[in-house]
Amino acid sequence: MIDDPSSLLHTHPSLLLRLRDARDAGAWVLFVEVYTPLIYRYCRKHQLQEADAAEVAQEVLLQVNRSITAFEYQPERGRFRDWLGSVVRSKLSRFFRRVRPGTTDDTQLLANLPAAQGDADWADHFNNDLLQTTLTRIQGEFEEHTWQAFTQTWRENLSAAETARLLSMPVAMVYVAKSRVLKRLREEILHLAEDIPHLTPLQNTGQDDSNERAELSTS
Amino acid sequence: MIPMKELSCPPHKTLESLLAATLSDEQQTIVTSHIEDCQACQARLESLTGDQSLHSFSHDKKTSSTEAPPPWLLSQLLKSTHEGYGADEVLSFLKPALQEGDLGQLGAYRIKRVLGRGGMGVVLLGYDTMLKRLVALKVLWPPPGDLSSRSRVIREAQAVASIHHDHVVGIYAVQNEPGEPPYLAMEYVPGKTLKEYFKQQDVAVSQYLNWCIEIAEGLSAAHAAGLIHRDIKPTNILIDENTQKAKLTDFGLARASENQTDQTRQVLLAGTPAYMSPEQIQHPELVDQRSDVYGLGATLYEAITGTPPHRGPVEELIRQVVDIEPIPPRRLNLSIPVDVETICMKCLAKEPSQRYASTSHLADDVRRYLDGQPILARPLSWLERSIKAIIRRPLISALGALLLISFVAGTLVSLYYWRRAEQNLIIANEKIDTAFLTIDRFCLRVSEDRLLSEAGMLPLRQELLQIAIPELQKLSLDRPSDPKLHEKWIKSTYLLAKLKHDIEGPAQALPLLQSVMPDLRERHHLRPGSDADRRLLADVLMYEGICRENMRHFSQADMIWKEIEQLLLDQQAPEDQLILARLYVNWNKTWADQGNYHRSDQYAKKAQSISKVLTVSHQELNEARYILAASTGNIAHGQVGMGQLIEAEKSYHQAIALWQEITRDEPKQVMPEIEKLRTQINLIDLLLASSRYDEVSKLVANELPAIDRLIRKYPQSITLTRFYGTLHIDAGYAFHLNGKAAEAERHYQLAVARLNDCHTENPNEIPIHYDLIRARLLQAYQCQDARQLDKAIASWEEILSMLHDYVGEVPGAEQEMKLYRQAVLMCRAMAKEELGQPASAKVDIQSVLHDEPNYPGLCHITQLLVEERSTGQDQTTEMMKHYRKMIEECLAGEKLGPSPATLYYLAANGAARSVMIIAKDSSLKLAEAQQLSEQYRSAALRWLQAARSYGYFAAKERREALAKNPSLSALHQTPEWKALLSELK
Repeated sequence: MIDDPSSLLHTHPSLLLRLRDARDAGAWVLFVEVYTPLIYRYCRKHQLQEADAAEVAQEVLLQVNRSITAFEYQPERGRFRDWLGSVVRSKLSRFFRRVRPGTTDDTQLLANLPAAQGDADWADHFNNDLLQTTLTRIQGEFEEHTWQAFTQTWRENLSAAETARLLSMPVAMVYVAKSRVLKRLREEILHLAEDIPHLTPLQNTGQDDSNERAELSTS
Repeated sequence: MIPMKELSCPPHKTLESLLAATLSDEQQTIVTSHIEDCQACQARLESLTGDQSLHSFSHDKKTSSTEAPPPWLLSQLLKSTHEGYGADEVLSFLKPALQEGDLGQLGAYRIKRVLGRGGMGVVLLGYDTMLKRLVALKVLWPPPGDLSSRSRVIREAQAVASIHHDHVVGIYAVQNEPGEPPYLAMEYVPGKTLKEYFKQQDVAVSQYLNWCIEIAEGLSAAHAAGLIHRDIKPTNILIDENTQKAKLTDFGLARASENQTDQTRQVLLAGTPAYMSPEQIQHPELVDQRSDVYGLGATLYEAITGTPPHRGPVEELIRQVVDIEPIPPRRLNLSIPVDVETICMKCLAKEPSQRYASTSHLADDVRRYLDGQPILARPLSWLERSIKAIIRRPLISALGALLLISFVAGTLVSLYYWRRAEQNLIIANEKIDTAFLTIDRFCLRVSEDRLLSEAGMLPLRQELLQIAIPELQKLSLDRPSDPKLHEKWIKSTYLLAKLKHDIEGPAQALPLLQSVMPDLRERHHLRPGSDADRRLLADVLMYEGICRENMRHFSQADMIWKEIEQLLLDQQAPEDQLILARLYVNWNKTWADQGNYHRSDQYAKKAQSISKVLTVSHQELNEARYILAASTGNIAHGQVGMGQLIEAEKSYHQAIALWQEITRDEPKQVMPEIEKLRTQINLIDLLLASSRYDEVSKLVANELPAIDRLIRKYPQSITLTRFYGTLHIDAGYAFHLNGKAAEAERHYQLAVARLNDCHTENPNEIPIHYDLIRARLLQAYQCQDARQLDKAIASWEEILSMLHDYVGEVPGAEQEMKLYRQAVLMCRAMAKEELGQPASAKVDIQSVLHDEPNYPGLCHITQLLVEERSTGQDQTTEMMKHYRKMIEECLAGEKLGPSPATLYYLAANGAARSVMIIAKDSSLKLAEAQQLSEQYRSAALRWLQAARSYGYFAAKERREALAKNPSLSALHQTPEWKALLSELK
């Protein structure tokens, strides 16, 4: 496996790392599919008209494209989420300035920049939206009852025993289902955003996930 | 049941395997069935699957909008980046290669390879088939369809293309064709970026410094073209591998004026503000060339230490750049020379005003260092930084002074002590001691370092003192009961008062001084024999006296002087005598300021005699020599005030000799040299007043090399610039009065040029502005006196606006400037009148009359003269009466003072004219007429003499002018007139 050095690089490349690789065409597609709706919805939440939200989202995505390929986003300098947040905020404020001149002034805006980490509104939106998207993306990978078991215990907060009764399956299998989906979920979020809070080491990473990735890229 | 469950519960590992689906079917069945009924195992599984790591993703699992963006957006995004210049097909815009081995073709260029990628686009190596040379092609990446950014890019490129400099990567061409991304063809520099050199161990600091000079020079060229680079960093500096010369590139963010904020955000978003100046982050609209000084400093910092001044995630980085002082380079690498550290830290000052004023100043200083000369940057400026750092950390601010020491000493040892102190946070007595000591030392340097009171250093000094005050205040807050600490407390309050005096003025310092006075008096009373107590009391009293004196409370000051004298009179110790001598110098000033030179002289002489004795008996008391020289100079001033000019001249010579001696013995001190110059200039002024122009010219010529040398050494010094200006003004004046117009003009020009430069650089330095106005005025007078009337009128115009500005800037200057304004207007009226523009001349006179003229008589005379000449008619009796009245006014005590010769000439003219009028005035009795006529005639002659002594005309012109002037013809008959004429021949 180690014979081919490039395979080492490809064991856990995050989407953001993949974006830098000009040969990885699927990365940009995936990125657009995941983050365009996320940013679009954020703009909508901030009372932008549909067309405006689309415009801002487009600007952000193009900016990200330029910046990422230019290696300007550097993971060691901070979270992708915060970095993306600052791009979004800057495009949004530019939009507001254009639409309502005089309402936002530049210096104020800049003064707000360092507070990016404290922008709970953005963080919440990012986390929730990414979670929803990821769930939708991975759902197809699981059998119906596995997904149901996961949904009932994790999302509906039903106890494992109740879920087991509801779905007529052994309690142990409910836990197995929950565990499998969560593991995949975590993996995928990590892949998409390089960012799992309180990251705990994954135990079993031996499985080759390139098939999954191929699936994702073409979906 | 319970023990059985315990026994059959699977181990932890088995549960983990179950979840990971790695159990065999058999195992799984057993475990599954066990779990079905085992609450304990279910709880264990619950905790195994309760994924903490997704916590923040899962707290709001249900509510989320699922609104989808319009489908066109996704397809647009995928399309534009595929077809445009996106991640996948960076080079898709290239046309197919025409030659084998090329990547493709772009315009007339064959593309060889990709040199690099940046935020703005991609850089390609191209071959110009027309000119047959290699070029670097920078393909810019504006968002597709964004026309405004396209044209902006082009405009910027055009601006940069105007810079031609050895150390700036030149731009050959700008291409902006539809269907292609816009791109620049630039000079190709083979080699690596500076950043790559940082990884090498063997690059000498001096090599980095040479590159620093080169880039600074390149930047100066850009700045001269009105461009600020804004993004200086190691990757933007290329080192030519053939010549080892540094070249600056990527003016991507440079722009002449507009929309800096946007650019700044670009850098912020790019996540590389490590080299960005604080003001670029906070006030992008205020960015000037000093921002590039910062960027270059940050680059130099990394070159010598191996790490940029600040590091971290963007938000943290921004905070650091704005708030946190970088670690002084020598902390990171002790082999870095102190001067290099100083230069570097001066560039990195948070306040632009504390950096080098320009990149060429920086280059000069680096060059000075490389040449082994002393550099101009002062390491003190980071002493101030250390204090700032203390103040930003309230927890440890009580121990700030200790930190201060560590910065002053700059050694690891003191840093260690500071750290320990920080841990303990115990303010023990000896630590307070150290704190006092440090602040003491700091204040001494700040308040006594003469150079700190110079231009450019002034704001720094103010700030330093401002910073020290709260520290001191903390220490002086409570009056300690411990006698030892009590003394410290008094001393620190005294020090605080001194600082307050310097910053906020004497009125603020006074209450502080008075607050310790009872304690001081009591200490002295309890222990009258204590030298320390007595001297401290005398010192503090002395400062109170100085405050009073500066507030012009002369009688209070006088009382204080008396108290100090009582305190010290019987004391024979040299230290006391020295204080006494200092006292007399101050006392001398109090009287001199009140214009009582007889009294002031007594004290100056006392100071002189005491210090004279001390210089012989106690040579170690260096201050005595200074007092001796200063008091001798003061004696000379007094003698001038008393009209004892011969004695004054002698005293000045003595004082100059004394300063000269000190200069010789202490060649490193600037102060005595400056004082010597000051005294020399006083002497020159004296000679000037005695009309000894030749001597003045000679003396000035002697001093000019000295002042030139000093100015080269301290180009920022306000005092020296004033001296330079004054010397040239004096020389110009001497030549002017001697009738040597060309020489006069040359000196005036030098003075005006230098003062003008200094004023532009330091618009807030009022004395410089004042001197400049003075020089300009004299220059214009000279012009008018030399009959270059057109030129003079233009000068008057300019001076009027200068006067206007000055009044706007200097509160309380109205009176003096009004006087100048009126003189200027009257001179201009005369010039206009002579040029045959009486109407315009009248306007000027009217404007003076409107303005409550300082010289009403003169003004009216001018008015009448203009009136008379413009109408060409003889005067009516009415007007003659009016005329007479004005002359009376004039005679009644208008002091013309040091006015231009033109005004004297005018007065003489008017007086002579009135002699004629009197002769025609039939209403006067003969005796009366004769008496008046005599009176006016002598006035006219007196003024004419004065005008002459100002060298109003060169001899020949003077004769002609006098002969032509009909109003002076009445004087022809007098013997004085004849004497005057014969003298002229």
